[in-house]
Amino acid sequence: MINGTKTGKRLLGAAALLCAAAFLAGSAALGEEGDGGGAADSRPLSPQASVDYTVKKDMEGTAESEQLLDTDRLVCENDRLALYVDEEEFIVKVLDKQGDYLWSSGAAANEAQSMTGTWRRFSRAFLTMDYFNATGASLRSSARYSRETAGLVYTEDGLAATLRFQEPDASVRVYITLTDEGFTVRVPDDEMVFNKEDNRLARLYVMPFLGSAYADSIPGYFFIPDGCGALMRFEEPKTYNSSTLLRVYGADASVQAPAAYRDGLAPTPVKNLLFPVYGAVHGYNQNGFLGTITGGETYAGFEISPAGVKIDFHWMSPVFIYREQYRQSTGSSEGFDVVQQTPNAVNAEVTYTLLSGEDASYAGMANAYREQLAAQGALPGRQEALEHIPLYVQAFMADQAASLFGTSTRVFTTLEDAADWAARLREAGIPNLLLSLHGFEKGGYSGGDAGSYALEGRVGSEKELEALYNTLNVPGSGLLLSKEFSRAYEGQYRRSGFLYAINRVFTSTPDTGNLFSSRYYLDAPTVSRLVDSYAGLPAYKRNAALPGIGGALYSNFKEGREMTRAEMLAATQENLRALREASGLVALEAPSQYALAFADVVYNVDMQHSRYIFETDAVPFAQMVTGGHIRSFAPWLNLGAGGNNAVLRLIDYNVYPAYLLTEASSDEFVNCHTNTVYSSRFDDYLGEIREVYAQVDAVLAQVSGAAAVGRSCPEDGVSVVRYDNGRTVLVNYNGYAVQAEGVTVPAGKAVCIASAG
Amino acid sequence: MKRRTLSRGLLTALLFPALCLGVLADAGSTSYTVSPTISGGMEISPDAYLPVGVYGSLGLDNAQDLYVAGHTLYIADSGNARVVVLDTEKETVFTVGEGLLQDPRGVAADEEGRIYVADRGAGLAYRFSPTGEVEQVFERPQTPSFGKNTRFSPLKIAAAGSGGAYIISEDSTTGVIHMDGTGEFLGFFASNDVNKGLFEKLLDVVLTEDQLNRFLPSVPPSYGSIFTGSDGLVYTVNKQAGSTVQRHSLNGLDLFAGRSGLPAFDSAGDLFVAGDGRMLVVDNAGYITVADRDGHFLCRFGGSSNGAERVGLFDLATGIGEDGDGRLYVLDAQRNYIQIFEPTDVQRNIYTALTLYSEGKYDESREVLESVLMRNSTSYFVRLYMGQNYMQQGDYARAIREFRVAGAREEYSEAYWELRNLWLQDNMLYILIALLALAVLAVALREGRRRRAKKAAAAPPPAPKAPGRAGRLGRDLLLVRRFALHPIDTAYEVQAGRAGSVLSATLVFAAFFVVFVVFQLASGFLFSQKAEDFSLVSNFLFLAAAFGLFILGNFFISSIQDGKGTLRSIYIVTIYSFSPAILLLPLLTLLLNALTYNERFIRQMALLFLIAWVACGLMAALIQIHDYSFRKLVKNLLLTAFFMLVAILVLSLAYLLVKQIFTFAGEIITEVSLRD
Repeated sequence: MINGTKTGKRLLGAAALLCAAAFLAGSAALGEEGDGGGAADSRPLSPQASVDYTVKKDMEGTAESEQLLDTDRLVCENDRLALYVDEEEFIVKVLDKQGDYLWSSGAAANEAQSMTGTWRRFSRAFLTMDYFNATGASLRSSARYSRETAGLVYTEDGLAATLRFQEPDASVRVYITLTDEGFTVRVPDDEMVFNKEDNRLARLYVMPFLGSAYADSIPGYFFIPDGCGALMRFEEPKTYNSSTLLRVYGADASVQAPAAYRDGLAPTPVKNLLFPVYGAVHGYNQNGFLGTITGGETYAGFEISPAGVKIDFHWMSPVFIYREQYRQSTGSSEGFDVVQQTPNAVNAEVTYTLLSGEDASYAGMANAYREQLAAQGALPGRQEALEHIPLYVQAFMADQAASLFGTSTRVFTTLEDAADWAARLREAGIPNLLLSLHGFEKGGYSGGDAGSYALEGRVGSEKELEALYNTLNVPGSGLLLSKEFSRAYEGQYRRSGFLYAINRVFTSTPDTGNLFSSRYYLDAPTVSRLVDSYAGLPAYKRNAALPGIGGALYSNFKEGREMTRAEMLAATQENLRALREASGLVALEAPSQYALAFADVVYNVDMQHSRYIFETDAVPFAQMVTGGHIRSFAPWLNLGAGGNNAVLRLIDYNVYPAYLLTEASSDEFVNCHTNTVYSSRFDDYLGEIREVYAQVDAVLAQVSGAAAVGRSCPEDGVSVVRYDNGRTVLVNYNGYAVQAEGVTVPAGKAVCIASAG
Repeated sequence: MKRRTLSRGLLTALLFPALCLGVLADAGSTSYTVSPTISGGMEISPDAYLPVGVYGSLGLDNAQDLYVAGHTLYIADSGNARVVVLDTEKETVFTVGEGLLQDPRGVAADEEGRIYVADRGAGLAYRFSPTGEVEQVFERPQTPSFGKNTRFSPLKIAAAGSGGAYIISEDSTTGVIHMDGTGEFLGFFASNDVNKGLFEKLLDVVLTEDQLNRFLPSVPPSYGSIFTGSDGLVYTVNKQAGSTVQRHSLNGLDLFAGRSGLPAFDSAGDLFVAGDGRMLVVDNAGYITVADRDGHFLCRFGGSSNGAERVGLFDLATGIGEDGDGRLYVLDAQRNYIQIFEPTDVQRNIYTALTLYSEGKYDESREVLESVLMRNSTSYFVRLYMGQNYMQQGDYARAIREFRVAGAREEYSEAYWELRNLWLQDNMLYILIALLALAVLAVALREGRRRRAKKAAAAPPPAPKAPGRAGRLGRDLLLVRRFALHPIDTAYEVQAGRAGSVLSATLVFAAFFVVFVVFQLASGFLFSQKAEDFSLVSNFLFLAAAFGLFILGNFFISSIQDGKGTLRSIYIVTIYSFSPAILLLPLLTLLLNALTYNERFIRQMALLFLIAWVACGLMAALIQIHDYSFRKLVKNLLLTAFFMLVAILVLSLAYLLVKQIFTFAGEIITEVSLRD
């Protein structure tokens, strides 16, 4: 390492040790590759050795458990677990008897010594809050515990205590309950007391250091439900600038307006956190926990801090947001900062499930969570196995374009074309096709009325639509109409139905299109009205592909029609339930957990996380949770960067191929509002579709209807996915053949075999 | 020099985990890529590069410059007062100048591996041997030609051959300092021009030199970055917003001067020129721009992280380079790490096609471009080069088709010129025969007309018929031809009420508008506007407002100036004055379809002629109806123009005022309702 600039002598010493460890690890890896055939170039800059979703890395080593202290008092226990509390500092500890591993709510005392006072308190406190003072400044205070004032109560299965926050002069009561699989932490809103009215609660951190690790002292990782799923492995400290707060179900655009585009230049949007869960693994396949936010999830998030941000600990904490601060515009560029008046009704609750052995992994977390969701009815029933996987094609039919007389409708694909595609795809060996019609309505995609299902005349006739529906109305196939229920461009719905943001402007997201620079969100009653009109449609129009709804979750601040995020979630579920009952097939676009119960199919699913630098691995957590219950389709392959890796990743993640296609070439509709479809001609892609489908179908058809229950990486560039139907899928991303599970997997190929044992 | 060979493990420790992303063609980028499309704008296109990794623990501090040669990265690690040299292939890292350098701001290397460093802190520049020993110190030149008060504060540096250096001194406006291998000052190279707008140019004329120096100092922008390309030419880019890359000939002239379509930068951080002439620029906000050797805009991506620690985004980008494998390295002075980008297959194919094109392998180049076109059907650049390939092979018809789709007018014009030339050569005989036949026909028609006139003169005149209403309107409409040739006579009849009517004039205005629209939209690909960019309504409103304002203004002014023209007669003659345009614009429209940009002067001359004709006709008619002298008419017209200006001003002010009142009231109401 070159001279460090910030670290002291102690850290330099530690860094030298880390480097030495890394050297040993590197040497070990080299040895392994040598055994594996030696064709791989193992240099760190070599492409072959660096595929994020299948990097083996150093998974050896045992996580050493903390020891119980004299001050730890046993509160209660069951066959699997024992709950302790350190009565001096109120540090809660849970002993997992299966793995003989002790989880602690605070950093170990000896490790906490290396931190400054504020961080030491933060790392040891059960709760920490951020609050706004009288001037609107945001300040932090960690809970302090005093046995005299805590009102500590022990019950049969847990305890309750009141924690005090000195700086804001506040107190909060917490309840901790031991369960069969783990424990639950509850912080009721009505037992929070602020003695000074000027101080207002902003955020609450619950056990921020549970699962934390000092640098790479513990082999393991935090699991982050970012996009498809991400890991933050415990590695040596790096030069990070700040920690990152990610909101469950994404940010609320009614509170925090997204940045506008500048000539199309903008970061790609970050992925949503689709599930209110997180987890930690200490020792690969040794000890772990899954934390599920079971109360206040619409106001929750996770703060993630890799080692190197101020301190050399990796920590990840559930955070509950009670108040936001936002900029109130007064009509011009001027404005002033305002703190949200009424706090969110949060009633925070986090339920932890402890995992050990093989279950102590992100795959184990996915299995545990899938079981929880299935038990709650939050997932649809198991899917029937299909002989062949389905292909998802979104046919882009028509859109608005600028013309001499303002705007006019341009048609790129007709129903006749779509029927022809279906026939040609069948001939190409693709028997199962989900065909979604996008922009079919009068006026096309950006010109059609929000509630209208009338066909654009030049797209085709009702008879043609019905005939196409009948052709595709067989198991594994279907004709869907893609319709926006939650968003509208100006003119697609009256403004009275638009959501209002907290600063009293319409809630919108920026749009890159040629005609409209913003897209507005519809409030729940409006969506409900649109859903009502759906029931009256003929059967051939009632398979629905629904972009947007079930993904974004925004509040409404319109006076008299206010709706919180929690209420919006309930209303969205109600709307989806009604829609589900009125329709045949329902396809949702990358939905969050609360919408999964209403989907037969999900499309445009995340195949990647948001790519924060601290996210070391992408993992198919989302796909593993929905696997066997919902069929997942990839983002449009013709608009991605493509390549064989993309196809292998479909197989690895159990995701089916999807394309957005037109009959006309994209250069013929370049002036339309939709200007991001730069390549879509069916004739150009038919050959590629045939090849990709054949490659994916050959493997994934064998695990159709099954759920992935285990995933491992025996060596770099290789993944092994076990399914609950006794099959195992092996994927080799490398440019050379590998041996895995006793079979040879050719370079850049995937195979499906019977699971060992 | 401190040298050490890194073990694989140690180098791994230098890398962020994100490096393990490797080549992920399917990973997606964290920023959109935009590139010019055939619609004429910049739009989202397939990812050009994907962020694949980060050098995160090099211990950098406020690193200000990056130079890449082969697989070696040279980093001006300003905060640590040293240069870090990292060989990504051999996996070695060493530092240069520790204990010597004070504030190294710029770094470069030459083909022999010698390292050039611009040290702002020391006010010196250095040349180090490839192993890190000082070979040459470049000090402030003492020669009079350098200037007595010129500062020498090296900020950026580039190799100048034979151990010499091009040095950019901080805030220097006199140009790049050129020094030879022994440190001798050879002169200033390529000084910038002062960018002056119309207002500044006007002030230049009005103000004295002293006043100009005081109020409007003419300081040319200073250079922000410099790079010596493998072609031996020097490339620079300014810090100033809106700057473009300059490619300097050996005498310092900018070879890109006058070129349009070059990518512009808000605050260029660094410039790199690849071996094939592609130019890569990163601006401080983190936007990475790639242009081909001719300056065509290929793509832009990246951007500001806005505090989010995502790969592929930046806080303060200060350096860029490309290694031998086509990987990009971008330095972030705020985050103190280097991000690595890998080109996607689509982007690599574009570069391959460019190379094949430059090697004269046009068929192969086109084949590769076609594969790119499938993935990006709306790309301007791909269509342009498809056309260029056809041009090189003499297939002008196909070239024209590609240039037309691309909207590349200059190139279309060249191809069209070639095609027209070939056609003319092939058909010259027929053209001559046709011209001869036309001439014979014209003579015969003229002779026939002469004979008929003679016969008619001998016969008694027919009894005049009283024209009906429709007949009168028809006759009034036919006045267009007469007005064009005899404006004074026609105006007299209009004044006397014997010719023209408000209805006929309105219809003539409508005809003019139709002719105008056809001229704008149907003058051939080269001289027409795109239909989707042309607004019928706003053009109609503009013309109607211009006519209306002139007519009203002229009526008011002439009322004061004892003009005899009525509002009706002014209305009619003003519109009828455009008769020449109605008659000739369709012919010009037809002609323009056959012209190229080489003959664009014909269009300009014809329009000038038409404008002059219309103006003369209008003036003659106004003289007639107002019974003015020429001098009085000029005064009348000037006052009318003034009236129009004042009217526009008053209307604009009234609009702004009302808008302000509403905005102000709205803000007050909003703020009162929002504040407790």
